[in-house]
Amino acid sequence: MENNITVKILRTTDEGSRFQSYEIERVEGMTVLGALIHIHDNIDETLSFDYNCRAGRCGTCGVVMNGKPTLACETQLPKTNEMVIEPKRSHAIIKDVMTDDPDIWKIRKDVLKFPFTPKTSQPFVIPPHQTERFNVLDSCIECGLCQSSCPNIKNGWIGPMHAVYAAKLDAHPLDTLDRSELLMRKGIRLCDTNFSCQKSCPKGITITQDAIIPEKEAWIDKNGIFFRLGKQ
Amino acid sequence: MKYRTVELDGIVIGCGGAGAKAAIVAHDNGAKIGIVSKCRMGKAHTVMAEGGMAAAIGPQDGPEKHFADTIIGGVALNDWRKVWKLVTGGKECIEYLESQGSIFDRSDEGNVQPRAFGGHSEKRVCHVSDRTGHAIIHTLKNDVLKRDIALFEKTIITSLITRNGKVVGATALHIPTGELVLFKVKFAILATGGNGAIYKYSTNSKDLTGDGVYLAYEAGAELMDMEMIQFHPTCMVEPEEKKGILVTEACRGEGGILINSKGERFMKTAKKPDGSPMYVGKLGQPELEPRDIVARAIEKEWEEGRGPVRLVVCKNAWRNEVKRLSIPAELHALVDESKLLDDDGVRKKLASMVEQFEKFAHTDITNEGMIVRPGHHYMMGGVKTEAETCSTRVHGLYAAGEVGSGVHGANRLGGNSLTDIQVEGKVAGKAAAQYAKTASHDNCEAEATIEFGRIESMLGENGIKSSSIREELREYMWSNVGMKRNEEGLKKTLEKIAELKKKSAGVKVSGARQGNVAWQEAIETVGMLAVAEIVVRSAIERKESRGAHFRTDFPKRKKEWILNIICEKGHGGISISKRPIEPIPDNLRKLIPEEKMRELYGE
Ligand SMILES: Cc1cc2nc3c(=O)[nH]c(=O)nc-3n(C[C@H](O)[C@H](O)[C@H](O)COP(=O)(O)OP(=O)(O)OC[C@H]3O[C@@H](n4cnc5c(N)ncnc54)[C@H](O)[C@@H]3O)c2cc1C
Ligand code: SF4
Ligand code: FES
Repeated sequence: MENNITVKILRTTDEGSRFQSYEIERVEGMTVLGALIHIHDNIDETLSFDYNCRAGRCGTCGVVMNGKPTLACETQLPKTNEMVIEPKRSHAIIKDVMTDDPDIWKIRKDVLKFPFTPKTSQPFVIPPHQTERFNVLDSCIECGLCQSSCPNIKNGWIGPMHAVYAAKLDAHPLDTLDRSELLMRKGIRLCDTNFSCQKSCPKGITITQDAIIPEKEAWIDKNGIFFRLGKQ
Repeated sequence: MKYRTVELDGIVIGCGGAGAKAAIVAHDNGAKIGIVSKCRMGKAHTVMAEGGMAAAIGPQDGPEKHFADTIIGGVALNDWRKVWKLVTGGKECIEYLESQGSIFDRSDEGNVQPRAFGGHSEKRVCHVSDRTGHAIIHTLKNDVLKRDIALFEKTIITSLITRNGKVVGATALHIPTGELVLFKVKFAILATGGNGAIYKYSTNSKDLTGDGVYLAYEAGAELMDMEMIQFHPTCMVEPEEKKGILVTEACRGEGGILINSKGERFMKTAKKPDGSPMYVGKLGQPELEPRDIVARAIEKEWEEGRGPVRLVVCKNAWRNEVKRLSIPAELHALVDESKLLDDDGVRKKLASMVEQFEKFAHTDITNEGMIVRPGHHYMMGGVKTEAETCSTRVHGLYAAGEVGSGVHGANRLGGNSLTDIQVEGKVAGKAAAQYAKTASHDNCEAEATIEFGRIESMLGENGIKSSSIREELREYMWSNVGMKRNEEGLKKTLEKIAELKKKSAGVKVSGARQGNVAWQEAIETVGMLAVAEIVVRSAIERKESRGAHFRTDFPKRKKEWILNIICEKGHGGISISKRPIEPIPDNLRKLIPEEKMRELYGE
């Protein structure tokens, strides 16, 4: 039918991964998540995927749609006749497009060894103009789409999502620590600033500009140029 | 039966604001603790909270005023001890969150600057733009991660095991692997949030299926005020898929106004029979009445053919609506344009709303009004607990946050929940850790085996799908147990629930054990039906209208109904009783203005 769309989903089977197609009717305002729920509730209840808030707040529903990391609940169906859904990259597949990031808290715990350490006691006086970069980074919903889009997550680079958190603490106007050293140990130099994380962030966080580059700069300011790293 | 056993002092069920806080405090008071949650850390429903958390920090403000507002908003059904804890605990919550690196929105001078909210007589809702819950949940999550707290994410608790009136264990299913888990514990803290999933249109996230209420009920705890369901005045209407998504009260707190299809600011023009204004609101804005009142006013416009109702937050949007709806001069005069935000203000203070309307409804809220209508939002009732400890009558069973009861009475004021979850989380965590010092573990393998048998028996082919049961339940609850209720509709719903319960015995879930969403849903559906029945029976019992509970067949509020409705598991099903409310002591009673006292208590 003219108003239908074919949803091709990469599914987990006993014989490995394979695509399965479902044909559904397009409804006005339907999102990728709406399509997955419709299939699960009405056609195939064995389809596995994740979501919670359905409003772009919790960051649970990430998938790769037509090759692009996407937050399913806030992305409307594409105009194309076919939509291909795959699991988030650089994530472990639990089943179908339900994924997991098994290392997420292990890495976060490392970053948390450098917790927010204020230079003054409370109540804090913080004029609003000092928090612009902090606010940008603070809106991260930890959806992992930037991780999923980063071609350099390997060889020990913990990835943009974790850099955003570390950089947020560094951007706190009252914080006294510097996490650039930590990020350097965690592979930030493997980032070739190709902007794919920033481009894939559903919250429009300027990751490269406001997290990655300032952290690299901070490290250089402290330690001199990059090639000294070889000595470490 | 194969299952894994984990032994701890206790578990917290749920990783929202209440659960995370309870776990931190229990840990710091010496308990060996784990968090069990259906979602991953940082993803719980609390993350959705937008407008802010109430804390009486202003120079004009104080806990006394906050106390009076909360009791007036709750129409005298509140547990005053809990309210006092809430209003005296707000400041500490803000300080704690900022000590961990959160930054609340500030004045130009750099101090925390609260905003106005419905029912609050002062600006006291502190906020991080319009993503306050997000800031709270991530801050608490990181604080959990700094500690040795065991995490069991994507794991659903299916039952609590009690022996001699004491919690000794809990059974669970780990969704990713399909593995069954037995927790052998001395205590369990319920922090499972509300019950939005039993309604067709709700602001709540998917996880909120009322599990905690069901678990507590089955374990022998009492439930209280379950008829009290808050319908938030402003939810999205279009597109259908997003119907029910919240439009934050911060929109009205930042000066937003409500107009009907004629462009009339109906909350300003409404008059009492004596000609005086029907709605005074707070801080000079009629749109800032408590939520039950605003919700009914909006619904009335829709029902009487004056919809769509629009919420206008921006100067520019107002000018455009004036032109588009050809709003006549006399109606125009009801709006003080200078009190609306400019484009820049909207983008800064209501950033999530700008994004939400852009992405879901292709609407630019700086250019036009948002179409809104009430939807299910919050469960004021829940598990009955003691104010001092958050304990239930089952030893070792605690409840904190939205799953609890009593704080908000018959109607919750906006902003009070985010404070409540942290205040109660702390109380529960501390009391439970204390309890664990003298309590002991006990055997619970036999009970676990029976429960795991029930869970396993849901797997199979060619059964009824639980999604079909849920859909029917939601439809009925929405139509008959919503903002307006009457005996006929309520009884019809009870019959429906009975029918669905029978049907649910035939539910079978197909597919692999791993990552089986339908299995989780089948487990939840059993509880949802029980919780829905409790809500309906409580609503039948309360033969008056008060706060969020509006009976068209008993439209008046009656003094003799200043009491709590208690449900517990009886021999033949739900047993219902009425319980008097402990009177507010004189020193606190004095805080409530006299004319309000007369209105509330008929004195
Ligand atoms: C859109 C929206 C906006 C809001 N805005 C505000 C606001 O501005 N101010 C305010 O004060 N309040 C607001 N509220 C209300 C407030 O957010 C909630 O009441 C509060 O967050 C509830 O927190 P909680 O910790 O009690 O539970 P939740 O955050 O709901 O967490 C419940 C947890 O329990 C888990 N769970 C449930 N059942 C089980 C089970 N069987 N096994 C294991 N885990 C389980 C869930 O996975 C989840 O982790 C808002 C609510 C919504 C929906
Ligand atoms: S930075 Fe953006 S893409 Fe990355 S986790 Fe945060 S919200 Fe998601
Ligand atoms: S379901 Fe929460 S972000 Fe999509």
